[in-house]
Amino acid sequence: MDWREEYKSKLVSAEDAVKVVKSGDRVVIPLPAQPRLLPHALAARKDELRNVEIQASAPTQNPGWYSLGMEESFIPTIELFIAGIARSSHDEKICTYLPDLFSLRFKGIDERRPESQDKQVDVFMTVVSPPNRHGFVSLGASLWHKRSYIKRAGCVIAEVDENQVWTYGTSAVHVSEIDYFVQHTPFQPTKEQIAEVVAGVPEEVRGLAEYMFSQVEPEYYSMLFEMVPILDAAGVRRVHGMLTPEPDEAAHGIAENLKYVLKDGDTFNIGVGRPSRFMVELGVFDGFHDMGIHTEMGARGMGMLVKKGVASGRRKTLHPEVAVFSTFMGCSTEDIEYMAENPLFQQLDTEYVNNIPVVARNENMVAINNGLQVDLTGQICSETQFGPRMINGQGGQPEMHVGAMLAKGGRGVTLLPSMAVGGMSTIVGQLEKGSLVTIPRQLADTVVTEHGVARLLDKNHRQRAEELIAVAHPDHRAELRKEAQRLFWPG
Amino acid sequence: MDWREDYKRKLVSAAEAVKVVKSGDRVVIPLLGGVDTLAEALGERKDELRDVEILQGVCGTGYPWYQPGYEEAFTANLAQYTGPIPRQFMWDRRGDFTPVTYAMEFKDVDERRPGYKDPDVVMVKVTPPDSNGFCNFGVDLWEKKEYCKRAKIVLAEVDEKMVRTCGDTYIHCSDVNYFVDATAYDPTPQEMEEVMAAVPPQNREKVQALFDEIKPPPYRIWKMKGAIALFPPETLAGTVMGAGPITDEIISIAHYVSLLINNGDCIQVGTGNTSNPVVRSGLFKEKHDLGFHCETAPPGIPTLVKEGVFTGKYKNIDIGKAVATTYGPGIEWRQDELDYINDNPLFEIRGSHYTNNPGVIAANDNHVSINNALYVDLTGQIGSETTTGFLLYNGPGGQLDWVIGALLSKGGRSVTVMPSTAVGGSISRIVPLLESGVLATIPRTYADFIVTEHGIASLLGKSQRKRADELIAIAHPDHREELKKEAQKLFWP
Repeated sequence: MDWREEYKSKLVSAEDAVKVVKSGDRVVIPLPAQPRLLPHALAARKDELRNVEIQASAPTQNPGWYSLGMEESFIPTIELFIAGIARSSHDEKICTYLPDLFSLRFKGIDERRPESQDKQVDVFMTVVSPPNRHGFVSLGASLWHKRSYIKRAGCVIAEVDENQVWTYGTSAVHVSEIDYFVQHTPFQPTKEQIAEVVAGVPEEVRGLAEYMFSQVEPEYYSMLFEMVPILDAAGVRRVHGMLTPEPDEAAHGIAENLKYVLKDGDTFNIGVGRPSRFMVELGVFDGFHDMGIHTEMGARGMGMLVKKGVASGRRKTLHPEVAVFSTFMGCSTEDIEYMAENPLFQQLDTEYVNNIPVVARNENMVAINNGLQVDLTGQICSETQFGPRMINGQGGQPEMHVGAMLAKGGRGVTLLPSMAVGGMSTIVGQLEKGSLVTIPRQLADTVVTEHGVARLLDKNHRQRAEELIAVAHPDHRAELRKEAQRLFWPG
Repeated sequence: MDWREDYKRKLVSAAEAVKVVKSGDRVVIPLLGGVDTLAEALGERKDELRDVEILQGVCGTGYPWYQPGYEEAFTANLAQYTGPIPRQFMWDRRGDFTPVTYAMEFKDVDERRPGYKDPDVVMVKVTPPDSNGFCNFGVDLWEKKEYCKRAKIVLAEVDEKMVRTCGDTYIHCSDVNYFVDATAYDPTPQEMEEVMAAVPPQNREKVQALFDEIKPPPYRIWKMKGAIALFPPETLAGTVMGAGPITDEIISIAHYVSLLINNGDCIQVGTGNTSNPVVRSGLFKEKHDLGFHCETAPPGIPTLVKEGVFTGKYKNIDIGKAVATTYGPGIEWRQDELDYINDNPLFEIRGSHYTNNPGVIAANDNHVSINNALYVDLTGQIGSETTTGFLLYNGPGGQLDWVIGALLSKGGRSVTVMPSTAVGGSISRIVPLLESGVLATIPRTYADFIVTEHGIASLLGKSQRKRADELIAIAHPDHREELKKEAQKLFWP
């Protein structure tokens, strides 16, 4: 069959498409960009479905299953990142969390482990561009793990969004690999419409809502547009906290110190979150010529690094002269305009980009990730802070960090603002009960705060304590010194 | 110069050899070094030296600086493991600890990172030179050769009792600065009786039974006589000799582990109070064509190689060879197994930087790593180092290298074994949350199979709730109710 006919025959409504979901199925919604209509259409079937597992990463909308009332029909599971919409749902334990890694995600299924057979993906929902003249659709500027799910899912449903861009790499999928297409180009609100929505939010947070629109990239307008009117004041603050578009003072300080860890010719990865997302725009890489990019995620200004001749990629030992991303997400609109359809930039799937041996093949690989808390032995927590509450998932940090450590000349860098909200020190003597250790201390390497650089590799406990106390907030150093004395010296 | 002349010229007394150490030096004694003669001579110099850093692996016997009064001269800094002998020293916080994995042990120095410190002096133990002038590190290599390559000065004890092994285990005479004769002493029957006489009377029978069963070489017993007198027989059997009793619990764990092993798999087994008796109980007996790629080989493996259980036929690298970095210098080994390894090309001893490199481990398909744990929390975080609070029971060793390597291996599996309870059943080793101050050796993202005497929990790719269900199902029945309640509170609305 000609692909055009095939495409036409697969075009259905959202309601018809989600009819493929059966009770007991596992449905996966990948990292953004996420379908807008399909989840709602599925949620509408709540009375006829039972025990459908909804496995989503950093969900951007709540069709109902993140609140109580649908638990008979849907079991929401969060994969990789929790993010704003689902955080309260996770706090209230309505959803559960799946701690897995991009590169080991499909190990159990691919190797046919008996206990992984119930882990098959029945239905996968994503967003694509309209087909090109060869019958391929694009997964847009945000590939992540989408290609690897499409390869394995029993059924793939795609929303066709005319605004999805084309990129080099592995982000194209043939029409024949997708089972159903649903046409839906999300609405792009006009300035007037945004003003109207902002006017409708509670007065105390109106300024904040306005500011949010002024700071995010236009691709998120429609998302904000849907979210803002239904949020209460606390919700607006939470969403705003999630976006935090402006680097704070600590981020500026960390950027200054990070420069001392880098050298020209390094290949770097930027992990999800802050303060790492600000490092490019704060000029950490300016002045270099031959930096290389092998990254899970983008950051504002990253496309321009290539354009300006900062990241030539000339000295990369894997994919030289090409900037490798698993997603362009995080980059600015200006970046993405330059990166789309540009062979200097490739989106490759996370199961490849985050694969530890692949990361390790990049000599002088620097993985730049964020920590929330570090204890004096060097245990790094990037998911919990001061106890068991998960603020976020581990994402690709364990893979990128380990890969960088195994790379010749590689470094595993953890960015850590020295103080948490409320003035508590993020460097602590011991972890609280229930903390989750993202990077165990035998792999801890370079910790950067706004007060300096702590180098932990090959250091013993006493030296680690000294290194970390030296970069802790000055107000907390005396207390930490006492704690270190008690823990590591006789007495 | 002919190597014979060179060797003769370099052969000095221990007191003469340790004169090379200066105040402020970093002296390295690689893992299980057993360089007692040199260590003792160095200890003698405590009044003339200041701030000598001893970077050492765990050792089988006591070094002088474990005693009070040596603090000004020596700071002992243990790496990777603590082990039973320095444990008290560590608990008093007189010693320090460096957590690093074997794969990254030399990264700092080799890549000239800011603040790196080259080793000044390394102390190792070798055989006398062969006809070409090469000395051999014996059954126990670890990172010794790598340190010799990097240290400014190499001091070697020469022990004629050591066996010669194949692999990367040789060092030429010309690469050593001083040799000290330190052949292990073979005790007379009367002296062996003295060893036994030093054991408290109530323990004597049990210790004798242990020796009768294992039959360790007498020179090794003599060397360990201090520890033998000191430890209760249970510790001696379990921690020191890895010969804890084969209880019903162990048989049950071995049964479940065997379900996870297929013929043709490549095996690593860590040392520990669970894994060692599990191997002794006949875990591999019914299998064939297994491969062996390991860090510390548990006793019993040489016999299994001899019997053709381990052929290494299906390995992708080092095909047909049983690869390990050590067959242990302690009293857990039978003389006949050591004799079988001696000069036997089926056994390849390689540096721990090679055996433990996750990339090397992953090069073999179907690599199965079997390691011990002290506790696992309901999220899947695995702890193998601390018991309650911040008391280091052991170090992380190479466990993380093996877990990551096994998961990266095509068809590979990482298996963690532990009894479901501790302290006579009163404490569950499966805990709801990690207590404050305890250490997570393996993050939960790398947790795979956990085996107790009650079954197998499979965690890879499982959500938080499913992980809790899986783990509670293998907890001790007495503790399941409590854990269920806790899990409900933690993971359900």
